[in-house]
Amino acid sequence: MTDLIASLFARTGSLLRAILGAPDYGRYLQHMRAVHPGDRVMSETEFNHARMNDRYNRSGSRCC
Amino acid sequence: MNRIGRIIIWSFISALGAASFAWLALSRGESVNAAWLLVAALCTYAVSYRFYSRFIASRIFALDARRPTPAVRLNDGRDFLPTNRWVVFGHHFAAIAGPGPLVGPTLAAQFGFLPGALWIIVGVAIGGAVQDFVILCSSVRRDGKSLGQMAKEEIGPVAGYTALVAVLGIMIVLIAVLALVVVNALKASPWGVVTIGLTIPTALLMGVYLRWVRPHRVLEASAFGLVLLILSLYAGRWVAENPALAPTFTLTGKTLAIMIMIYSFIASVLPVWLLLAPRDYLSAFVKIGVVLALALGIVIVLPPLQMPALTQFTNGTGPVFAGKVFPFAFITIACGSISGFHALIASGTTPKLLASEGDARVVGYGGMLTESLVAVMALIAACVLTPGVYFAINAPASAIGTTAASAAAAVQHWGFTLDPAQMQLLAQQVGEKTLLSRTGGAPSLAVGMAHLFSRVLGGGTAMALWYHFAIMFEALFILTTVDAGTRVGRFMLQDLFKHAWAPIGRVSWYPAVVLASGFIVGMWGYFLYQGVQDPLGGINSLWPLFGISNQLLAAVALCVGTTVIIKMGKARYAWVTLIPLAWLTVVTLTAGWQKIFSADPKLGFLAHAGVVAAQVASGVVPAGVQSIVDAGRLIRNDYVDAVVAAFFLISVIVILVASAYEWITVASGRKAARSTEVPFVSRAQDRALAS
Repeated sequence: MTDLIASLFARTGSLLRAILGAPDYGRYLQHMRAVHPGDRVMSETEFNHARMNDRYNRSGSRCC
Repeated sequence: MNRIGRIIIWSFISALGAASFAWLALSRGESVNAAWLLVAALCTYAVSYRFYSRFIASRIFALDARRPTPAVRLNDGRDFLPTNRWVVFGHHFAAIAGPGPLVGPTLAAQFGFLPGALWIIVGVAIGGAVQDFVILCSSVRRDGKSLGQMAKEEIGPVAGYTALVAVLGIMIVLIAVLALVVVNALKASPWGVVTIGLTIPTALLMGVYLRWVRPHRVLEASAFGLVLLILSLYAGRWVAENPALAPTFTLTGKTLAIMIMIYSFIASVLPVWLLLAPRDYLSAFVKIGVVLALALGIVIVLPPLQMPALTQFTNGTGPVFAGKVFPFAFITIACGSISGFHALIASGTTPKLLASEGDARVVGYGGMLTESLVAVMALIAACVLTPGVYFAINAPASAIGTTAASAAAAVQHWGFTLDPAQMQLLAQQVGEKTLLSRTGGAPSLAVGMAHLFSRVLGGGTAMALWYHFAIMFEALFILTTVDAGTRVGRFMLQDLFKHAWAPIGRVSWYPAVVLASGFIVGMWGYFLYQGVQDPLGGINSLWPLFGISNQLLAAVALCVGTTVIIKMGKARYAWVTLIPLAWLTVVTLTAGWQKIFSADPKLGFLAHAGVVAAQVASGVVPAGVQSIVDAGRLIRNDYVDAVVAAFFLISVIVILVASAYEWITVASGRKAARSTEVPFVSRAQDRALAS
């Protein structure tokens, strides 16, 4: 039961993060391991800053 | 049986929608319940989604779940990420829903609820949702290319560059008019100023928390930020009730305008993680929360609409903004029925996230229907106020004077009733000194929302808290748009000017950053300051300019969409985008022409400049300005506005001509109808190739 609640909590959390557009480091790591094994991997802070800079420097990220 | 059952259900939904429309349109004299408006909207959305979006999906684009999307083919763990369709929907909706669908319908309520309601509901089904959906599909088929790139590649370089410059122009007008909405909402309101002011340190604290205290815990930081927001609401009340502090935070429009400019300049050069990103998280939460609360409030209360279906102001004599119902209802309400800005998002982040082509329908068409519903709710919130109260809040001082008694007299003259004592009581209830001439739409929407919310929760005593909560919500995400827009504008400017002088393009070179940011802030700041000084209230001239520019961008998007459809060999279906394009062209050109050349000084920029010049020449200081020098500034502003409107008009014509030329060469066979889509390689083949 507690497991179920914990997993529900975690899933709601990741859903909210995704809708907010918060950087998803986990998926980046997964992708790097699967597709570019051995390449240099950015740290979480590096990754987040790169994502945020990219997001707010483009015109297609927000509306009136 | 199943088939018959479906036919029965859809016939019933269509009939219910038609009946609701009939009820809305035909009932006269008594007030109509908001439920009819909601039902008419929801039935239209359901029918158009089920039939029209499916028609576009299958007949035009032949969306195919087996055809890999850019997210699948180009998955890089960063931009291109296959994502669950409901997450993409939420993300897309949060990106397209801004203050536009709230402010526009509120202003357009001066014509009565019917013109706005019809345009929002019908416009979205055949215009806005089609635009978003078609652009999303086009971008998905082209590796997630942006609108500007598609305009250049599909139509040609002239259209591409015009679109680029137009987007920059639109950003500037958009930021100015939104900032003006905030200024008008915070003017002479210590409670509002303190509450909004405190959102800045709140965001900074969140930024610091995310950087050093508990890195990357976005939800924790947001929860913590939301608690601080509620506390700021109470802090604002405390200051407003404190006779020693309240005057310090009672600011004039000019002071607020300058403060917003300085603040935005600083915000646009700070690192994004410190201020912009955390504020964006907060604003997304508050936005989704308020939209849900508003829906809940309307459904629980089911308020009657106090505003008549049509007012006499359809003839163009309205005090909120000048111009007749055609074309100005269709300019005033852009977001909610059709908004060109959405095309930037539908060709921005969203196409890079779709896991399956089939998802484009619910995200593109469905996302825009949801935004339209927000606009319908904003219209309801504006129309639950009695017309007297609505016009007292939204008409400028030049129309209703500065006292409750003069406002009541003016409103009576228009054929509505307003009890001066009731107006003062209402201001007191929401914790403001006055609600007269609080133009811009935000205060009247906040009063409407407070009216609804307090009937569900808290009663009359909670009115003030609900009102300031609504103001905080609007200001919070308007300011997020202002900052982010300034930042994006800065990058666009650096990109544009680097051809003239290479170092200006360096995005991490501080002098270039400061120069470009200052330039952008200066440009929108000019329009903002002009709006604050304008004796007619500013919104009167700026909001139509914004509407025209937004519809111009929609015209660009629909031109791109039409070209894409024709080049796919589906010219027989090009009417899908040509119908809304034709309508927008007529509306934009008429409105732009009238704003420049109308002989009515309230409507036409040149006529207004002429009247002021004549007064100056005869030594009279025009109403609402202090001196002859100020009057000179008024004339100059009119000329600037006229030039901006002319620029938008010429851009529309250039893009239309360039597109029409392209369509004709393709249709006449002089140019092969060759689609620039990435060729279809099914997932199975894809895997075979990869291995």
